[in-house]
Amino acid sequence: MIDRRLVANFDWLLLALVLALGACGVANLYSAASSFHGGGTPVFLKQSYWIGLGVGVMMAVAVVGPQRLSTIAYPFYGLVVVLLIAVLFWGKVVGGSQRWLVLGPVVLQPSELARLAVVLMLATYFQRRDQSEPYRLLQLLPPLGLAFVPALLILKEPDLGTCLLVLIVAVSVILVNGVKLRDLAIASVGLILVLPVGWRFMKDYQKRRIFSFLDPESDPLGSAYHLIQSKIAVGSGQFTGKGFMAGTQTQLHFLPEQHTDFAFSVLAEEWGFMGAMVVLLLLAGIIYRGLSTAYRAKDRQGLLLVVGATALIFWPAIINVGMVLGLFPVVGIPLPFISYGGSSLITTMAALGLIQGVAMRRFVFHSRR
Amino acid sequence: MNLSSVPKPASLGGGRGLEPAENPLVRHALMAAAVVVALAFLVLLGRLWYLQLLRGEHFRKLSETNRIRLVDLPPSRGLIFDAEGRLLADNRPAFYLAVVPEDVADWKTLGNRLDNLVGLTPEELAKARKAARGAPPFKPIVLRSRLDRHQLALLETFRYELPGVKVMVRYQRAYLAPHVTAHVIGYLGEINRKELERSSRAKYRMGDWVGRYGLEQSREQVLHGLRGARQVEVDAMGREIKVLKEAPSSRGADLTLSIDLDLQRAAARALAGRVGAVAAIDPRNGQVLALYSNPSFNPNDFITGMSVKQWKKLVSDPLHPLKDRSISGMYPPGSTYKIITSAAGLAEKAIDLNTRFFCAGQIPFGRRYYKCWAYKKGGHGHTDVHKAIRESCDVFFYKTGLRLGVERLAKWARAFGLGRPTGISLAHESPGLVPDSAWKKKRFKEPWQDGETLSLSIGQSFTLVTPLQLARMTAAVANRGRLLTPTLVKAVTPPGGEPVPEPEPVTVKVPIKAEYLEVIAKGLDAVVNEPHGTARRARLPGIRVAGKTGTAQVVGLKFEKSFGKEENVPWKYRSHALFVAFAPVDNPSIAVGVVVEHGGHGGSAAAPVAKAVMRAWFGLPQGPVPEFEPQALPPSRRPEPETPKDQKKPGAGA
Repeated sequence: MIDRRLVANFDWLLLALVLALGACGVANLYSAASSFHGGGTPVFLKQSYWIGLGVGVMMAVAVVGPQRLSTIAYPFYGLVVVLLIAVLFWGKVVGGSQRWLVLGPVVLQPSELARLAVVLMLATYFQRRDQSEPYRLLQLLPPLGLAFVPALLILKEPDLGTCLLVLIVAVSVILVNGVKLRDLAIASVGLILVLPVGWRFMKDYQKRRIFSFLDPESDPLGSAYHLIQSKIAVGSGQFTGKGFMAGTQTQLHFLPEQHTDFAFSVLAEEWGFMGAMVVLLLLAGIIYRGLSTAYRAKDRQGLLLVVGATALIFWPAIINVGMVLGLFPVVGIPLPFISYGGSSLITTMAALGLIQGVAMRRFVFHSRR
Repeated sequence: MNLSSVPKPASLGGGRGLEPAENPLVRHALMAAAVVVALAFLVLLGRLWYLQLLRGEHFRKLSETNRIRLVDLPPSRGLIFDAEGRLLADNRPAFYLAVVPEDVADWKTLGNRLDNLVGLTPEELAKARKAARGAPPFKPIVLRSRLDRHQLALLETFRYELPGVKVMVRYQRAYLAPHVTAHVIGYLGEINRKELERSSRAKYRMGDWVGRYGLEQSREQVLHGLRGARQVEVDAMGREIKVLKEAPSSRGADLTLSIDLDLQRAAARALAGRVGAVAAIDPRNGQVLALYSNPSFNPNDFITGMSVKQWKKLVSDPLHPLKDRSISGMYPPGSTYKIITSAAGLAEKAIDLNTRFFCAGQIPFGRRYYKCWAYKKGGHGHTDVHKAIRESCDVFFYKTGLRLGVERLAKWARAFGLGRPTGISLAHESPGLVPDSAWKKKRFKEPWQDGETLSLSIGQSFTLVTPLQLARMTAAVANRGRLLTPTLVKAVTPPGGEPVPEPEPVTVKVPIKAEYLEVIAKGLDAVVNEPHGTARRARLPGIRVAGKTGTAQVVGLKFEKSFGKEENVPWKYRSHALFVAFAPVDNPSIAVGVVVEHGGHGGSAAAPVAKAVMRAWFGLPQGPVPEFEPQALPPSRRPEPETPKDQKKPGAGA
């Protein structure tokens, strides 16, 4: 039975923002992938199906609700780790990295599930260790360790972008959760000392990417060229854009990955500063709704779930747009709702479902089962 | 913040039941988060403003001229040399005609001009344009994949009247000893979608060539090299006027093989007109000196492109020229297996140096007689192990095999590397087969019969070996008990670097006393060099050779005999001829395994092939070729008698 008050507290504005952004994404894909003559369903249609499916996932997650989800947090986390190990052994290799598990008709990207699993795991973990004073570093080591396991497995695939994302989201959750300032300082210094070690574990091509970001001259063929073309596309959009389906950079395929990682540059080229601003505002609106829901959460678990879910949308958005605009190195992180991609869209929608689930239960008693 | 009158929920974890937002800590954290979010979005907006409004004009201009292009610089493939440094696989320039759609002002005029100059039909042009749909317009599309000198000169002359037209050069693989090294080196094929998906874009692109067979395939990683690229600025004609940045490609590493072209040629000559294969290994280090399979094919056809007809002919050829018989042809070992039976007998103490069995030409077993090949002469008489190897006495090995049993025979066959791939770095290697009772139970649902042990011990039962395994087994006798992993590559030379020797191959000790191997080696020496030896024809001037002949029956002996004389037996029912050898006896530097399919009895067909390879190795003049009667290959499509049901009945060895 769904309580009437649950429906009443459903965040319709959030849903509206999401659908508006999704529509922008579909329209943009229509243009970005229009000149591909691949067979099969056009990309923009596939994306619409994914959005439809995503809304269903969002509703399901919202209805199940945070409490029931927390009971499966650890099993789910365990399953994801197993899947991440499996993908290293039996995964399908695409573009030199193993990220997909093929299970009969279903193609699964465990690293996407990992993003959700880590958020759910952290929220459940701290709910059970609720305290009003800030957490000490030693208390934070176990949950950090738990976040590191999937992150390292994802790094092995190799998928540097998603690995960093999992870590950033985990850190965001832990910071909002409250850390003693002195311990935070110690941890930051520690991290700076540890970085060179991580550097040694990176693949050459990943190092090259970072070099090429710091010094675009060093890699004229790969990322630097992409960056230049992306900047030309974005910049040439000027204030009003070149118009729908009229982006020369896009229609002439100067842009790499224009319907996935660089979808935002297509949008900026064709819709200009106006269009890009609208998309950024919609994104900011979603993030704002997330934070205000967090503010009104009833318990620590609800708070952290919402913060984690919001971080799952916020960070990829910032990193992707920053990359497209040449502020960050080129890491393959898709832009929520705008980039084409089923699995990342479903993850994003599930995250929204978490936010909705908490929002809906704002005035409901906890059942004591 | 709407603090309703609803009572506080009891929180889950038995915590304080405090709402997070009532905790100032959490409130501050959320405030901080909101500030971070706002700042991040402001930074992005600022960046957009900078790119689109401040520098928008500049970028708009750049996008309109589309001046900056990326030119792919594919790497050139590493070269392949033989042991003496002779070039086997090279890259040769090939010119082709391409056009950059972006730079073409008028397709019609262009079509007419090209028609006049090189006879390019409108259909050709339309086809190329259609194929390039969806590709970036600054990417050259191929109109003609090969140009001759005359066409090149014409195009060069009229270059300025042909905007967008490019004469481009690419390097094509060329095999300089095509038939002779085809199976070892292999060939290339154009990369397909599936492979592209699996590889990183930095390495492969559409239109790249990758190894499809042989060393080209197994050493793809080393040979391929790294691609580079060039960022260029072009003028309105599409000509590069300025190189902005360049990352040169780095070519693949060169391979120096242990294969010696002279030995390959000798093998090819000796096997001409026959079906079979030879493998030669240096028993001191496992380096493969020769690996040849006949019939062969021309790998250059795969590079320059084959007509459908040519391809069909190649794959439907009943003699399977694409099959590398030296590593994937599986044959019963015949009497060459007696090396295993002797080693097993001595090591397992089933026989010793003084063991003598009486050979009367046959022995009764079960409800039938098992014959020795010397049956007509009345048998070999009293026979010890040395004489048994020398004269290939079947009865001696029947009895030895009976004492050992199938399991111990299988154990020693495996100890000499049979029944599993040798580990040579080529795909398509066959494991061969070492039968034991468990295998038979699985395969036929029947228990092992003792009668089968008899035929097993003379190499006639289910056992299957490849020529390379035979060479490896022989090398293990020659070097007194070291089972080597055969290697083909001696050194890898990175571009501009010094040759890096390949690591020494893995060696496994055959767990048998050296003195027993000495006995077997002496026996093999006697086969060639003592009176009554079965391979006295295998002697070479000045080099002492040791060896063993073998005959592998294809059909039952009775059926084979029913045709009368050997030359009357249809080709496909004749026995395979086998020969293994090593030389020089006192300090072996080469071990050879040969199989000639349907080559008839004894080593008559196989020994000359081994000899030819050894002559080349020791720098002796090649004898007249062929050293045997030319053997007619089967006329195809001639109706053959039905194959009988009683195949693989044990019978005579050689």
